Amino acid sequence: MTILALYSNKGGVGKTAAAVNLAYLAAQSGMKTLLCDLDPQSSATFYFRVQPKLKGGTKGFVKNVRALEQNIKATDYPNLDLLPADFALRDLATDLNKAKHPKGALRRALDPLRSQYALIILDSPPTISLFAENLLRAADLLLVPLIPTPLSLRSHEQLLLFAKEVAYDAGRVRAFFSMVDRRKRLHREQMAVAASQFRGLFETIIPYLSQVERMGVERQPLPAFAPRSDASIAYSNLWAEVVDRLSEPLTRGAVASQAGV
Amino acid sequence: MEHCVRFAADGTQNVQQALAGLARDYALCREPQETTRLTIYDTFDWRLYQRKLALYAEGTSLALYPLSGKGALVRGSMASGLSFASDLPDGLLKDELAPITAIRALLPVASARLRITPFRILDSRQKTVAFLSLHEAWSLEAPDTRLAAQWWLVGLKGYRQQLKELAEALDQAGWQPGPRDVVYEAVVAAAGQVAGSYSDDLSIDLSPTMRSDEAAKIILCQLLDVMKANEPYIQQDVDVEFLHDYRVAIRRTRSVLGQLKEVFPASAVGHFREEFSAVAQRSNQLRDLDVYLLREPAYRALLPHGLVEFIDPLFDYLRAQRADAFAAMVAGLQSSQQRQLMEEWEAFLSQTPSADPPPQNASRPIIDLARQRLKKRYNAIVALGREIGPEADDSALHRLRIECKKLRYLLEFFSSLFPAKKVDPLVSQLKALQGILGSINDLRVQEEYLQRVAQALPVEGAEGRATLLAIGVLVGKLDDEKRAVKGQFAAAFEDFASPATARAFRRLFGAKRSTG
Repeated sequence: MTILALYSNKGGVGKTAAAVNLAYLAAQSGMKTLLCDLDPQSSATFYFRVQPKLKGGTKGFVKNVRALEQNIKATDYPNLDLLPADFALRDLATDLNKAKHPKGALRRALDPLRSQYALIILDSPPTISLFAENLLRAADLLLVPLIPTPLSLRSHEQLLLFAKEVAYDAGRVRAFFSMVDRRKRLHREQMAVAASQFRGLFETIIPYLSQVERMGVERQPLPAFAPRSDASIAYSNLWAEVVDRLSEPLTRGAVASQAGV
Repeated sequence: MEHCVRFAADGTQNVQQALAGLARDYALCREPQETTRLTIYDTFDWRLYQRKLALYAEGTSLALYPLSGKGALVRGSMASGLSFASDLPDGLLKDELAPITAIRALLPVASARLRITPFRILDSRQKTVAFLSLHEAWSLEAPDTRLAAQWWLVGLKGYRQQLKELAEALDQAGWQPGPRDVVYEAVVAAAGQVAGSYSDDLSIDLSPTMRSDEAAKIILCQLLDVMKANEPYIQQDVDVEFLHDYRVAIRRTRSVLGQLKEVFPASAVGHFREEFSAVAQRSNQLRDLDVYLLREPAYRALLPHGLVEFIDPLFDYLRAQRADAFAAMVAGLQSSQQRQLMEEWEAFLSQTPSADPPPQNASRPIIDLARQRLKKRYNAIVALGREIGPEADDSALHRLRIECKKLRYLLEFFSSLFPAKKVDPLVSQLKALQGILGSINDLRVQEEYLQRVAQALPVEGAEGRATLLAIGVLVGKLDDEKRAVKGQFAAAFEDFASPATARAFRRLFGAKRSTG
């Protein structure tokens, strides 16, 4: 079982779209997949037309891990289940602090689900806090959408430093370019800067396309309603790269070389 | 996991109308019809059917439905062909199936063409909450023959309340519940199968006044059926239980011949006992190796961490030995000697040759003979057990184990002649004693076998010495366990030989004049 987290400490970078589309593609490939919507804005939950409600609020993450399982809903797609968000998740970071060992609470909460799913994808809110540390500990791979702008690059740098600070294997933090508009000179320049600055960037680029925004109208994963669109193809390529990356052994050596950024 | 409710199909149902009362909350969307090939799987001894479960395969998709009208529906998939549940990919289906099927393989029972007409049921968010589908099974051989049809209402995971509401709406619209899975029944029947027809428990129906030779033949014919049913699967090496059941049938056959004395002509009895004993002997080695290989995980768990890897040569050796033993077993089953025995035996059972004078027990009512044999066997066990001192010598315990087995077989053969309420407690006590004697014997045989194998194992060097050390550790652990089990013997025996049990045996099986 693998846990993937979509994460960025900036908002509006295409995290949820990536989480939803990758989860859908994984499930289509036959992997029993669970998408956990950890963002109180509940966008992923909205895309799947599920009511944003967790019985017991954040309790399932802290005390009663069975409560999480009882909240899981099947989506309309084979092999794909959803743990819906709830507005109560806005207090998740505070509530995690009440757990016995706060930094590992999320990982422990997901443990009982390991035998049921081949893949768990976490869609997370933009925050650097105890929550981010929980995410780092729970995830086998942290996928970071990166808009090629100076501020975005800077916040990714901060994330890598944070990972180093909390002694997380930074080799497992991998970014991909998101919402890219190649007509903008700035985007082209910043992509070149990022490529020299960060190792292990994914080759796939998720373009800025209105098709992605249509997901909110269709309330479906993009490959479900526009499988041949350029954006769908980009997500498929990204998924193929993620699968490759997951099969690579991640060594401590790779961490050391990256941690120097 | 999903939950489902089955409804009978009467050919007149209108889904739209049935859910009209709920139209405010739910929308209906007709999905394209699908046709697939459906295969029902179960173990040879119908373990799923006995648990009221039906395993359906469509391509590589698997679904475990409740045979009763409603319950949990567990889905999964298989990588390639289906055999052991333990080989399925990790997930709920494996968790559900593996403990039920255990060491038995899943076999295809019957197939049909399945046409599914699905309706998607959406809530006010346009989210699917359930599917209502008409399942129609069609014959593969006669494509125009519809075997059966029924409706399934399946609630998606996390939508149980909605499922309940929808089921109630259908109920109110006059839809009849489907307590029987008519698709399962019809598809199985069309394949000429009878669900639950094979069990390793005997169920022999005798009447007390029946002639003993007739009763014995009924028992022996059933045992012959068991041998014939299992034999082809032994040759295909499907799972180890086929050989086990086959061997038990042979042992029971020998037990009937040996214990029901003077029922058949002595010369025939002598001949068949000898022949069946030879068949059993030929299968001993394969069965022993099957058992050792089944114990592999348990053996590994007994070893200290540092020694586990050095035990591999032992299991490699056992696997190689098993391949030879299997080839020998198959050759034995295909031999002309075996064929001749089975032909002779069938002929004997269908027409027993007359003897002059007839054997003295042949025409005796079976109840008399049964009582006499059961009482005698019980007394023999009590006498033999009393001789076993606190030292509990292995060979004496082995003799007692054999006596107990004979009594157990008699109780199984004649269970229909006595009230179950009275016999069952005695069987439970006997089982408890047999359990202990069986464990002691198994442990003794394992110890001796491992010591013999240690001599024969082709190992050398430091690793070889580690392998022998690991085997030594195993022998030691098995011996410790044997001592612990021996400690339980005295109490179980005293229970079985207690005045109360002795009285119960006397009352049930003491000499009475038969009514016939």
